[in-house]
Amino acid sequence: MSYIPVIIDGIVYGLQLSLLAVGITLIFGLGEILNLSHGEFAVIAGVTAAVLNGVDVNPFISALVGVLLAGVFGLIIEKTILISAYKATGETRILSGMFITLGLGFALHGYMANQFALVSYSVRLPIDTIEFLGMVFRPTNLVAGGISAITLILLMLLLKYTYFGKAVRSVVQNEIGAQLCGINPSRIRMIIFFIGTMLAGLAGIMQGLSSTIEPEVGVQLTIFAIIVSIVGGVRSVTGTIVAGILLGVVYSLVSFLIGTYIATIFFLLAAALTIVFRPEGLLGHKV
Amino acid sequence: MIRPKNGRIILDSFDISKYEAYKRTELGISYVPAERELFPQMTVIENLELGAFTKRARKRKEENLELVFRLFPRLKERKNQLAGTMSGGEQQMLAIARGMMTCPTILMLDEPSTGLAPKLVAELFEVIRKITEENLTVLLVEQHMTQALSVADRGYVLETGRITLSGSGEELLVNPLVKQAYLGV
Repeated sequence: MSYIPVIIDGIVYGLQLSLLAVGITLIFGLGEILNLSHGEFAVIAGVTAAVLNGVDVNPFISALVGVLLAGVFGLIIEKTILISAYKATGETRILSGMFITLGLGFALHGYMANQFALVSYSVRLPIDTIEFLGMVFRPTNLVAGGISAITLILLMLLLKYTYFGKAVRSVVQNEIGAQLCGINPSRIRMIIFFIGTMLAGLAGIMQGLSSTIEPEVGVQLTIFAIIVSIVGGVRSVTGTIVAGILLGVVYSLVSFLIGTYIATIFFLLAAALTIVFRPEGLLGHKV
Repeated sequence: MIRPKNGRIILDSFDISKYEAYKRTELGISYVPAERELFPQMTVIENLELGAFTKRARKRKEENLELVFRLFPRLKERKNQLAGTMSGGEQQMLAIARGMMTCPTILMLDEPSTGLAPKLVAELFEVIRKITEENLTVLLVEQHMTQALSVADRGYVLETGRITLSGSGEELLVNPLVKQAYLGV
């Protein structure tokens, strides 16, 4: 019985990883840019929301400002320093995309670590813990899980049923075909970069809500998100979400039973095993 | 996309030489490449819906869908099948149908018979003939000379990038020079 709160913690954490990783998956799937600064967007939004919340701004408004800030910043990046990567094709694009976003990641990390004290930030809701059947649940944790889950469901519905979502999938599957249908791939990529960085921002805020977020955690978030994206299948959004939840639960259980360091090793092991045995990821190439 | 080294591409007195491919689709040129360029992980109906992506085409989606299902009844039967799992002939039909969903004024077919069995080639040309009856200009590049010319109002013979012969389809069909050019003798 005492495992249930740990598993719930794991699911909540996994949903946050999924929020982060779907951005990696979509941005890579559409434009072959592996965003190595992705986790920093989570930090920007998480710290912004926590700082605002700390000076008594309503938690929802704080969160909204944080998410929008991450998204708008993402848009600016996509339209400026990433242009040279988009102009290249094939391997050159992948490599320059990685170098540009890696550099950006270092810069953002340095800035955040300098400007904001290296302490833990959190977003607080005015509610207490609940006891149910003798087990203690943190409601903020459940709120974070709920918001993450709803956002991911909305994202999947958007991709599956709307014209925009179909256009996104078409560019992932065949960019030339998409152009023949009158779809402008650059525009789709821009919108997805905006959405992807906003989702990363939301993930950061959810982490600040369910536990804490530190300015220096961006690199780790990026690495975890990339692992989740690989395990889920680099072009599969559904796979990414499933992988996020699975790895979140495993991480949480292993942390609880053994320790955080071992849990991190499990993470890397999961990625390594996936690459060896199922290089196309859990759910293959479906988008 | 390959940009022209010289010369211009004019559509309805607009110079579209520098327009990107998606813009040309918006303006009413539909290009159906020999490679088909379908969305393999999407169903037939999703492929067709994406053909009607532009605002102009979206308005006429329902009637165009009806039209392509009339021309290609097999696509209607297979509308929930993934495009990537269909046979070569069916994929070619889907590519043409998707091209028609973009609501074009010119439909450009690049060697649509590539890789099709003879029986399917005959079927294909029958459909192309029907398409030309739909108030739509078809620009067809083909190796199957006789069949292509028999559905064409006008024909042009291209030799190493230059037009060497042109005339009505019927004229060219009986012109011995065409056969010569075709055989390269």
